[in-house]
Amino acid sequence: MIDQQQTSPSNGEPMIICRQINKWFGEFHVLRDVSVEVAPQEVVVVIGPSGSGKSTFIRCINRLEEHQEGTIIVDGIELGNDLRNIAAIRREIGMVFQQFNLFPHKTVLENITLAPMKVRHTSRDKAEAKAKELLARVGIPEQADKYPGQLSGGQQQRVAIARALAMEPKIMLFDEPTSALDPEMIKEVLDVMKELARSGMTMLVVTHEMSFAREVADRILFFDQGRIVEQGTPQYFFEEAQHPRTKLFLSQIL
Amino acid sequence: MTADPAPTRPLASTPLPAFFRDVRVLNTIGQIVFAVILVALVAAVWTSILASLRAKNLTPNIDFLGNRAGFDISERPAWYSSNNSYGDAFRVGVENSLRIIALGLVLTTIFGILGGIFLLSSNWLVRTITRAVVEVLRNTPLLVQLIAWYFVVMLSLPLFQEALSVPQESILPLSVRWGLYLIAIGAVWLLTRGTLSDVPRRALLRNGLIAAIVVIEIVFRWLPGQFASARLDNPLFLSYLVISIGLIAAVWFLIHSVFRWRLFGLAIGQLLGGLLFYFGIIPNSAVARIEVYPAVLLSKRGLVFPDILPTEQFGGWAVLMLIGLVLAAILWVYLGHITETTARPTQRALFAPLLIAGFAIIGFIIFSPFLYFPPAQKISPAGIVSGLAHGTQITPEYMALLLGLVIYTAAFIAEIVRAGILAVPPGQVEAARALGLSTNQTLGSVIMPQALRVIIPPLGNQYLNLAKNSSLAIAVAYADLVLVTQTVMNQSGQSVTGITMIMLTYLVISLVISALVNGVNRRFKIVTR
Amino acid sequence: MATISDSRSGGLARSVVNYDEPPVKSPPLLAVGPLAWVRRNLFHSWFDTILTLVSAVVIISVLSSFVAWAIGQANWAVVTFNMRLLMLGRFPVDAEWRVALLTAIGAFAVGMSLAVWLRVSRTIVLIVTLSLAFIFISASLITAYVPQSPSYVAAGNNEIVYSASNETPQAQLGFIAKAGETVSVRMADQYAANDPSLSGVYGFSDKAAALLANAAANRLDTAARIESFKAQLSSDLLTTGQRARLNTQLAKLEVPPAITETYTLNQTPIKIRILRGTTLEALATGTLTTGAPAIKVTLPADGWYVLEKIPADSEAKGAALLEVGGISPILERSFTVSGDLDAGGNITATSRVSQYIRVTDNFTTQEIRPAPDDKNVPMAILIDNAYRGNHTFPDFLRLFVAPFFDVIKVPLLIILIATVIGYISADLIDRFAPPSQKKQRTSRRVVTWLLIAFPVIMFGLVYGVGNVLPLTDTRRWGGLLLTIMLTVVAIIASFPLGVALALGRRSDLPVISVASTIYIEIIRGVPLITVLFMAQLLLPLVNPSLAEMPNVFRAMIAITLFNAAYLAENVRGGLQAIPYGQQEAAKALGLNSWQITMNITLPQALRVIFPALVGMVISLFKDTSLVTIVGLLDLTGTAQNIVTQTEFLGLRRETLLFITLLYFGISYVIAGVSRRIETSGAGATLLARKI
Repeated sequence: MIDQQQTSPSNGEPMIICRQINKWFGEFHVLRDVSVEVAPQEVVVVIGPSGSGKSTFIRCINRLEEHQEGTIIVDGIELGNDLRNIAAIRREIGMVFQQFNLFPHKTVLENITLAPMKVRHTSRDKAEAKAKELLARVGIPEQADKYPGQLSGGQQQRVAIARALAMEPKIMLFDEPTSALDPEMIKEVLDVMKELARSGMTMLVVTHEMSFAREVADRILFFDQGRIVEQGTPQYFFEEAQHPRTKLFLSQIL
Repeated sequence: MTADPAPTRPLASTPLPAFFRDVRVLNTIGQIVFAVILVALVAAVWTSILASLRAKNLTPNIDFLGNRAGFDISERPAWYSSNNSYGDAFRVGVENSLRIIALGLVLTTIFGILGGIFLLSSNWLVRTITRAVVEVLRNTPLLVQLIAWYFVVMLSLPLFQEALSVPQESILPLSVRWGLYLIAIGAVWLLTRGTLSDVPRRALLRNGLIAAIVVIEIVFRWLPGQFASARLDNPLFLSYLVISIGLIAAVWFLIHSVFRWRLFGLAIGQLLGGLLFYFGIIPNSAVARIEVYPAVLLSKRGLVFPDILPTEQFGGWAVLMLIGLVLAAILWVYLGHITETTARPTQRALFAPLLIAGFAIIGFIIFSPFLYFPPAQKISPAGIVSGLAHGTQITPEYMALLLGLVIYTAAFIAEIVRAGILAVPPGQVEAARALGLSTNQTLGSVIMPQALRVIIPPLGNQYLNLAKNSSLAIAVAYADLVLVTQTVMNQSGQSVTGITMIMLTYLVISLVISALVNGVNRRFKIVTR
Repeated sequence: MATISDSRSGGLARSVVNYDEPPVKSPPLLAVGPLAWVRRNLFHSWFDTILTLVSAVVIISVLSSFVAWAIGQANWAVVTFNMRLLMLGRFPVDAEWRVALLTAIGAFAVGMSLAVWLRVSRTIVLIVTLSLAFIFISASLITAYVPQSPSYVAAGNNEIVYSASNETPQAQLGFIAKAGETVSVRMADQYAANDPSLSGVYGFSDKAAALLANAAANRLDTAARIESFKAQLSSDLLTTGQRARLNTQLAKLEVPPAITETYTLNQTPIKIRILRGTTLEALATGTLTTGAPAIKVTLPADGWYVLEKIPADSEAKGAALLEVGGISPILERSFTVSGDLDAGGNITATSRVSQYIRVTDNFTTQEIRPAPDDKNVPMAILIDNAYRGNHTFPDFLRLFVAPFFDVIKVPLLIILIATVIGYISADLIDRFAPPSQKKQRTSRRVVTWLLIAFPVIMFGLVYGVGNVLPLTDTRRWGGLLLTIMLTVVAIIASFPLGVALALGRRSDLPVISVASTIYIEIIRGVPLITVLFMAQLLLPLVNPSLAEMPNVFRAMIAITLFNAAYLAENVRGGLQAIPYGQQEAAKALGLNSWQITMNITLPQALRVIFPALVGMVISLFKDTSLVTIVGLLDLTGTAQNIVTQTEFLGLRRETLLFITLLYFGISYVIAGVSRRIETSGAGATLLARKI
């Protein structure tokens, strides 16, 4: 099984390798034998009913949650109990949260420059130049000196994306980035994500935005009850899904 | 209760109501009546107090402050004697109170924050012990705690002649082998740095070195020197050899996990250390003998810091220190430059101080730059009480009061800090972690700044409490504002003036602390829409 | 893991369907269960492991040294024998029933409150019952089955000298005993062989015997110190100063001659007589020599006896160490009984009663102390017959645990019974009350009124009521009783003032608002102790009648005035938390501002600040300890006072530990109950409906 996955063709070394991940919350089996590989520049969208373990899965990849069995290898580094491996992997991965989690006591600029300066030891000038560039890229260059509390939800989420990008990650994780937004702000965030996907970023996105999945994803993973039930290209997935649970889920949301 | 059934009232149609129904008039009259009654009451109390004082020929005044005090104060600056005036005595009391309050505020903040972090520790034992201690401290009277600190803790310290001293007076031989350790540690560090995923080599080398050093130090400390006879037929040595080899084999064949290489390193290291010792390869000879004298002495007389004065050779040491400082500064800048250009973290915060410390120690050995006055010989016990000729003393009263106030208040602050940190949403920590910030960076840059806005207002209250509670000095006979003024009042009979002076002083202290806390609080406001 | 139908060929053309159902497994051993708990909470990382080990070492060493001290060295008799002082102060003995009644009423009210607001779980009932049973049973069991260790007394004509003290063994020793007990006397040969054995004497020993043992111990100790100094001097790691000091100390030391030989211990025969205290008739006589059997006598009645021990040869030199079974040290205690009231309502002269109590089992007699040669016989009092060495565990049980349980068991039983009666009667009241829609309506009313009336009942019972109950002397109030009185009175009295100040500060009328604010801020800016001093020094000056006011009442006034400012701030906080819409709604209904305050805002505010009020009660309870500084003997003051008694001189650790436990226990219970009330919501309804 494992061999089969390892030999599966992909363009170069996989960026993320997950093998047989198992995780429990107390006695509850959240992730059951989840095995996935993500190739460089691939955009993978994870969907599934709530409580299916999809958020837990992507939070395991940068060790916000600890998996109890199985192997996770990110960019050649194995995620174990070694603090330095965890730190190294977190430097490679950016993450965007449902609730933005911007630091309310720091300005937008400080939010973006904090990690490059503290973790990568970049000088302040370089970090700020980079931050301004990123703010322009996500479309809010004029908000640099405001506090997060003064921005709208969509703007905050775009700042959060810029903050993650400032660490120049090889991979971006998105945990339901549009779920806490008002409908008119969803588009502005999705546009930024689409642009990011086009630029060749490896992305792992948990979302309920099916249109986004259809348009941008290279592959869709369908999670149910802690395991991957079905995966495939968007076209195939939305048109010819095989598994009864996938069909049921799609019939409910489409 | 329900409202009274309202009688049908006539509609107020007149533009000006009758004056006895006009709300404004009634309010004004009410206030005037209230003010008159209040003033009359205060005046009556005041006049009767004045009358009884005048009857005793003790009319309140402040002129008596110029009179000779005639009493000594146990905790006093050099200039004060019983010939000074009441006013001077009062000033000494205020200064003593401020000494306690100022240091107390700093220390209690440090201990409180530490306590708050302990209360939130992921370690159950630390958390539980701290919780128990905090609950006991918060639920017992400060007065009882002060009595315990003074009468139980301070007075059961040893006599001055047998004072606990840090460091203990002795001669410290500097062994050659410590230099060898430094070289070995440096070599291993160079060999293993940057090998992020090369676990076996790193674990083997590091654990092996640690085990070897520990074993060598233990044998030098506990085994007699002649044991290192290097004879191969010594049965003890042979059995040690067999057991060690068995241990190595057991680790190699029985343990298959992440611990294998680490334990293997430990087992090899201890054998290596044992062999090096036994065959006398590691020398025990000393390069230098440093005389060590206590810097602090703890006894029934409190803390005594003996005077340490520079010798003629101090200059040589200072030059060496200066060279060390300059080199450390160059290293600091250079490492910073490396970090800037290659984005590789360097531990300059570790190496620069190490360099300075190294130069300081070497200079110390070469020059012996200080002259030391051993207090037990130079200061007679009586001399300590009457004046400090060769050292600084912190009295047990001061220590007991300070410890009592600091630890009592810290228990409350710990609870406040805990609540403040818990008030920061968990998403903030996750975001910081996802950005790769370390635990300390997360605490310092993300959690604490946000927790502080919740923490500061109640913290300010605790600061005020500490300042006011310092008046309990009377329980441990520390000559603070209240105790001194009480003596003044008893001698001069000026109780009204005395109490007014105490209250005014505390009001001023409270106002200053409030103003400072409010100023800080304004800085931590979070901007929102 | 059977069927992953991987059919990706040439990139992702189709899909992978996973029909396979991985089983729901139970987590690995280290993920759940006790092992996982230990790993997560104690050994999560290497830093965590170090932290755990360090704190485990610290806590174990602290606890073990504490236990070693509490069992081996502490003298808990100071608490047991001053229990009355600690609880009631010097409250007159003949008025003690009032406090007992008050306690019962309080417990009754607590029982009813529990029944109405917080149903008590079966576990708690079981725990309380079992602990009370344990206290009752173990006190008797210990006295019955743990043997009492013997006492050691010296005899002989020689003066025994050691260091600066000297003592000639007493010829007679008075002691008290119960009927049927046996007293046995023999030579303590096991200790007389040589100095090491003599220094091992432990247990109760009189001054002369203790001197013998101390001298022997000192001799051995000196020899050991000389050895240790010599060993230290042989090291080459000494500074010049250290070497000089060691030499000076060494020069001062000299090993004295062997003690057993100096006093020819147990070589002289001793004549023993045991006399009945009242009649001075001899119950037993005999002469003791080394190896002779013990002289035993069974005592006929409760009361005083005298042990006479004189050398058979009145000229003989030397000393003897006797082992006496059945004699324990005693304590003399005198009580004050207040007289009746004279016609003017004043207290007549008080009289004193002497009691003798045996420390091992609280056996008490009021029989007059014998005086064989027209001189009061030397008693086996605690201070002369002190315990030597560390207590063994049986001795700890016998000497401290049993008497302590003995003292507290009856009060505890009264409290428990009254609580149970209160608990049951709450149900009974509801059963016989007229039926109502709301459950427990009647009992809730009764208990609320009882709680409101309790402070009045308390004050009436303790202080007295006019001609019905004679007034007690307030100077005799003390201990926990005074602490609780101060707390309760200050809280009740500061409530109206505090609420008025809070309303005043929020008033729209500037004069009232400014006056209230000034009062509140001044009081909050100064320490309680200055307010107490003010009440002490300035109140007498205001009016001569106030000068005669008892100190206790002045302290009560001061604490009330002080607490009112803090209460006002709490209430104000609560008032601010009430949404303005509430007032608007009430105004729209036509209520006037007084009605709005009393019916709408204040009740809601009090509900909001309930936790803060409980916190205030606790801090007030602690702050009352400050009255010690103005000379009142509350719990803290009493504790400070009793360690000045000669028998218990300087036993501060034991006393402070006990009162710390009391303060902590009471505060913690108040806090715990308030937490439960908050979570159950019952307290909120109480406050919202009734106050």
